[in-house]
Amino acid sequence: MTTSVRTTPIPRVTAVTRGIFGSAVFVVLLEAAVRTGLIGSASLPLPSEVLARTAEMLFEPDVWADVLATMKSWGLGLLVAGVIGVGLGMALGSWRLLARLSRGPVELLRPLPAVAIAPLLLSLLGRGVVSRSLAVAYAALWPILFNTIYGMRSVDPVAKETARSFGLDSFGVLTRVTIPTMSPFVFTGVRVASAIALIVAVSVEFLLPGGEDRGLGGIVVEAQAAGDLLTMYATVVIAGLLGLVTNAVLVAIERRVFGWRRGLAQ
Amino acid sequence: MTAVAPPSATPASESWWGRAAVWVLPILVMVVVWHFITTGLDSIFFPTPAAIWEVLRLDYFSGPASQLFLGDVVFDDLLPSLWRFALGWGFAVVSGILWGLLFGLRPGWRAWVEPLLEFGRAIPPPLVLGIVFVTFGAGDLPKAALIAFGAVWPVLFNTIDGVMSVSEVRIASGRTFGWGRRERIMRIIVPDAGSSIFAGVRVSLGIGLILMVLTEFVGATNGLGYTIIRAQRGFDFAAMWAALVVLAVVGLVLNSLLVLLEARLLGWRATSARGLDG
Repeated sequence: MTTSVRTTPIPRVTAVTRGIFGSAVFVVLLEAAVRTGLIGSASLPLPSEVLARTAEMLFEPDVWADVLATMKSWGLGLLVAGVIGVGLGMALGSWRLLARLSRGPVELLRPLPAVAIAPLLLSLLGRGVVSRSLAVAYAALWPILFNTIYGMRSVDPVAKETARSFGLDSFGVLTRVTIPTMSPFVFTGVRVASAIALIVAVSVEFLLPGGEDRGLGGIVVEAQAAGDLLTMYATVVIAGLLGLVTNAVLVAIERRVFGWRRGLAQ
Repeated sequence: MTAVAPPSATPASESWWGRAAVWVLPILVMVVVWHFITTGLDSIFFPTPAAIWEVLRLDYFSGPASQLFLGDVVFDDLLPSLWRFALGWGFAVVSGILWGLLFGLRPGWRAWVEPLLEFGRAIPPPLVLGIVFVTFGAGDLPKAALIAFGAVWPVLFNTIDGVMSVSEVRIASGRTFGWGRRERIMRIIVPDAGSSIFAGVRVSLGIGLILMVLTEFVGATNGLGYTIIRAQRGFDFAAMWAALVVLAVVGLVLNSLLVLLEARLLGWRATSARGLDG
């Protein structure tokens, strides 16, 4: 009997064990390869050194101030995108004519990479959190907007009629039927947007001159100027851990609040 | 994923011209509104459409016949940008789909590297820029490598998801046709996972463009991102807006090509054509 085209998923415990073992082997092999000079040279630090530097940086208050600065423009940008995206999405989801007319402008504005407008925003509004969050919001807007529209469209017209026949006014239909149906879609939009928002939040920091709230991108800029590879690798590790935690939290909220009712990833 | 198929918003009777008009007219209205706002504002940050067009005409469309009438900026900045993007993004799409197929078909193998993949996906790619530039320099290949690093994750994970969610019945039905492993993969699994793969490819397109611009902000002497930074330093905001228009058009064209490709390859399985009104 040959193995099937697609094998069945393995038990959770086996998967976790393999994952831990696999990662450990990877790190140890990399350490050995760098130590014996098999790969790399001065430009590839030892994994153990990177981990040590990571641990060291986690106790530096400046690093946390930078993490906070990045999270601030990330969070504010997401919030602005959420407000505009949901508002606009509900309008476009309600009036088909409006949706048709905005198709051209939206399809033209959407693919414009958000970092490209960052220099304009920085020239216009200064290097503060406002310009940074607006660049983030531009990138985060589209997944939220589109998921909100799909959410509005997925509301069952029969459910709306039923609610009306039970004597609910249009506000009641909105809060009892429309919003519960569309919210999982909106949340999926926010989750997808949050990853892109982080990319833009960090990207914009490469354009800033040094300073206090330079963010994670600022740490890399400074380390790059100093040729400090160890700090650059450690920053990547810290950001990766942060990303894992953020994503886990968002997924957990999504599972807990919405259960099986998931939106469309877009 | 709930695949709701809403009725098409565009009436079947509507002509091609009608649909094009609905698309183009609002953009024209946008340009006219922009004209009146910018004329009223008279700010160096917000040039009029005419001023932006003047830059576009001079920089992009006024070359000699030997350059097909395309301006120097097309050759010095636009094409180098597109070349690096194509290199990095193309590598990301191909390798993302291949590894995604392997890991989707073999969950047991994927388990060994799953935490490493999750970690790689969680890293904001711009932060890797410093490492790439210090280690490999700021040439075309390192830039493409960074684009590839950022763009590969959505393709990889969406391919895995797509392969995992192909129904067992569909795969088994391939056996009744007497299809071998390769045929079942190419004729059942890949097409059924197709719309998920394409969704990942579209997300990776957006990330790739962001990284293309970023690498040119930081370490380039040419490219569209570089023209934006150069314009900012020279307070030449008409040139900056011209570069933004070009970037938007590049993104629009690439995205439209993807939608067309998906419709052609997947037929009824395609979902991307659903825009705002679909």
